[in-house]
Amino acid sequence: MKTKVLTTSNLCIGYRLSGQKNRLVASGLELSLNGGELVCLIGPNGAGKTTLLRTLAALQKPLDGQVELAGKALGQMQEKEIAKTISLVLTEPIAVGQMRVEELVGMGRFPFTNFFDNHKPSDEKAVMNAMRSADAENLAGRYFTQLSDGERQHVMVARALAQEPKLLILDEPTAFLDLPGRVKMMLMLQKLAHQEGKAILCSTHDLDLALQVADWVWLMDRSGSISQGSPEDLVLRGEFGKTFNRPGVEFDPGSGKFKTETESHQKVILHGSGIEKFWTMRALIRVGFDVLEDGESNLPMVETLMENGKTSWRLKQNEGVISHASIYSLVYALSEDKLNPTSEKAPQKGQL
Amino acid sequence: MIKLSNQVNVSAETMREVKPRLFLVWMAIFLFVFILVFILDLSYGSLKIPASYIIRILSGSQTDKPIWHEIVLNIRLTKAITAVLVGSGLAIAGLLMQTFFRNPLADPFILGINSGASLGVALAILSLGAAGSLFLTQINTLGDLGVAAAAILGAALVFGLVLLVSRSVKSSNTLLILGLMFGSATSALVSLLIYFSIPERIQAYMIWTYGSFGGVTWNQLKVMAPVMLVGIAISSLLGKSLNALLLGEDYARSLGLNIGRIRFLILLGASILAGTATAFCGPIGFLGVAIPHIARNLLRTSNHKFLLPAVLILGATAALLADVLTQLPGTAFILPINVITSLFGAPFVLWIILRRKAGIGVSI
Repeated sequence: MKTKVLTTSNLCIGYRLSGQKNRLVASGLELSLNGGELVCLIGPNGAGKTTLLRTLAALQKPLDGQVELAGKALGQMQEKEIAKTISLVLTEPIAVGQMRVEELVGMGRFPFTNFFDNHKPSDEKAVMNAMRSADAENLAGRYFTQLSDGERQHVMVARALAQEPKLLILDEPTAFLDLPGRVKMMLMLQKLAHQEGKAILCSTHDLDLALQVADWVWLMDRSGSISQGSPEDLVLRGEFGKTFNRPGVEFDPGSGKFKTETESHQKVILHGSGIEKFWTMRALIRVGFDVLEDGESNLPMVETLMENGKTSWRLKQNEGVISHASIYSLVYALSEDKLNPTSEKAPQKGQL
Repeated sequence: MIKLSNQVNVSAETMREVKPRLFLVWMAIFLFVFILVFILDLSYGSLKIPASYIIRILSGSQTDKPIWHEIVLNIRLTKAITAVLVGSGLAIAGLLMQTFFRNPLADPFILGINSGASLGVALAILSLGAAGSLFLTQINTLGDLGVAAAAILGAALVFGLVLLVSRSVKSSNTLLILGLMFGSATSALVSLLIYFSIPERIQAYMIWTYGSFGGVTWNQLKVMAPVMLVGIAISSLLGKSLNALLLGEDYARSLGLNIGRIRFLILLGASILAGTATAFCGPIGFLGVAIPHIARNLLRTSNHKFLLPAVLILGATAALLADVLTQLPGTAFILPINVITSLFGAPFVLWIILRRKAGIGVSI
C-alpha cells in the first residue's frame, strides 16, 4: 500500500577530508521512507543525525552506497528534479532581512517558476495551501523578522510545503520552541504525513513527543548504527536504554520517560484517586520514594482528599496524622522525616 | 503590523503578487528625481546653462548658443552618462556582494577588484622610471586610456585569481577573507611603489584615487558603456537566484539552485561592473555599499525583484547628484567625487537607517 519515496542501500555517510582520509560517521545504512509516514530520527548529540539528513537531502555526497529517490539514483538527478521531490527545514535560523511571510513561502515555488519567478495561479494556490497546512496563513502579510521563533518555524514548514515535495526533511524543527509549540509542531507533522500522504523525516531530541507521534523511529547511537521500528517495538526491545542510558540517567520502559536515579529508596504508601494521586506520585518519586499501593502499617502513608473542591494531603506517620495543604508542604515533611526521623513536625508551608 | 495582517486576503482567487507597499509610486518618484538630477547635472557647472536649453540641445534642435551645444554634448553629457553607468553599476555590484556574502558591509570592491586596478594604475604611473615624466605630461591626452588599460589588467588579474580559488573553496566566507588578503597584498605593493616614487607621480596617482567622472571621453565611453551594460544585464537577470541565496546556500541548493553556476555569474557581474568603473573613473567609494541600504529601507523589502530596478535608478541618481555637488558654486573649482559621496552620503544614509523607530536597521 505505502509507496516507498526514498531508499538507501549500503549508505556510508561522513566527510571527505583532504587526501585519502575520510571521516566516516555511519556506514552500511539500509533505510527507507514511505509516503504517509512520520519518521523520527532520534539519537544523542554527535551521533551524526544532521550528516544523515544532509546526505539524504543531497546537500552532501555519500562516501559510499546509494540513495534512491522515487526509484532514481539521487547522485544522477538534476538539482531542480531533486527540489521538486525533497524540501527542507534546517536548524540554523535564516536572516532574510525585510521579507513578508507570503514572499518567503512563495520562494518555495522556485523550482517551478520561470526565469523571472512569475507566479501562475497554480503557484499561488500551492502557496496558499502550504500556509494553510502549516498553520501560517494568518501570518501571510507580516515581516518574517518580526515573528516569534514558533511562528517562524511554521513559516519555514510552509515554505518547504510550497515546494510540493513528496518528502519533507526537518532537522530539529522543535529546537527553539516552547513546550506547547513543540507539541503543536509534531502534531502538525503527523497530520501532514497521515492526511496529505507526505513522507516526513524529522530529527528531534524530544523523545517523549517522538514516541507519541512517530510511525517509525530511526534510533541512531554514537557509533552511527541505526536501529529502527515503531516506537513501541523499540521500547519493548530495550533499544532506547541501550542508546541513551548513562550513569545517573535511565530510560524507564514503564513510563517511556527518562528518570534520574536517586539513591535512597524509602517506601511510602499512597492512597487516593484521579490526577491528584498521579501528581502526588510524581512528586514522591521525584524526591526519591518508592511509592506503594499497599504495605506494612509502619510505613508512612499519604492519602489525597477532596473536600469542598479543595485538595488536601493527609500524612500518617509515627502515629501522628498531619494534614497538608500542598504537595510542597507534604514532600517537605516527608523529606525532613527521611533525613531526621526523630523530628516531630515539619514547618507548615503556606499554600504554594 | 496589525493593520497589515488584517489586510491580507487569504482566498486564492484574489491573491496578487506581493509587492512592497507603494512600489510603483516609489519607482515613479525615483525616475522623476533621476530625470531632474540628470538635467541639473547638464545645466550646472562653471557656466550655467538653463534647463530649457538643455532640453532643446538634447532633443537635437538648434539654439542661438552653439558653444553651449559643444559644452553640453562633448563635455557634460559624457560626464553625466559616465556617472549614470558607474553609479548604477557600482550600486548593483554592491547589492550582489551584500547578498552573496550575506554581509551588509560588503561593497563592490570586497573581492579586491579595485585593489587590483589600483595596483595596475600604480604600476603605470609610479614605476615608469625615466619615461615617467613624459608619461605625466601626456596623462591628459592619451595617458588616460593607458591608465584605464592598466587598471583593467590589474582588476582582471585579481578577478582571475578569485575565480580560480572560488572553484576549490566551498564557503563564501573563505572567499571573503581571500578577497581581503588579495586587497591587502596589492595595497602593500602600491604603498611600496609610493614609498619609492617622486612627489609629482604620487600626486598623479592620488588624483586618480580621488575618482572622477570627468575624464571619460566619447571614445572611451564607446568601450566603457557596452561593458558596463553587459555587467548590468548579467546582474539584473540574477534576481530570482539572489532571492534564493537570501535563505542561505543550503536552502538555495534545496530549491534547485546550481550554486557553482550562480556563484560564477555573481562574481562575473560584480567584477565587470566594479573593475570597469574603477578603470575609467578611479575607485569610487561609498555608492556601492550605501545605495542598496537606501533602497531596502525606502521600499522595505529584501526582494531582489524590486531591489534591482530601484538600486539601478538610485545609484545613477546618487552619482549624478554627487557630480553636481563637486562643482563649487561660482567657481571653476571641482572637488574630488569621493569626497562628495562620503561627505554628503554618510549623514544621509545614517538618517535613512535610523529614521525608523523600531527600525530593522541594517540587514541584507
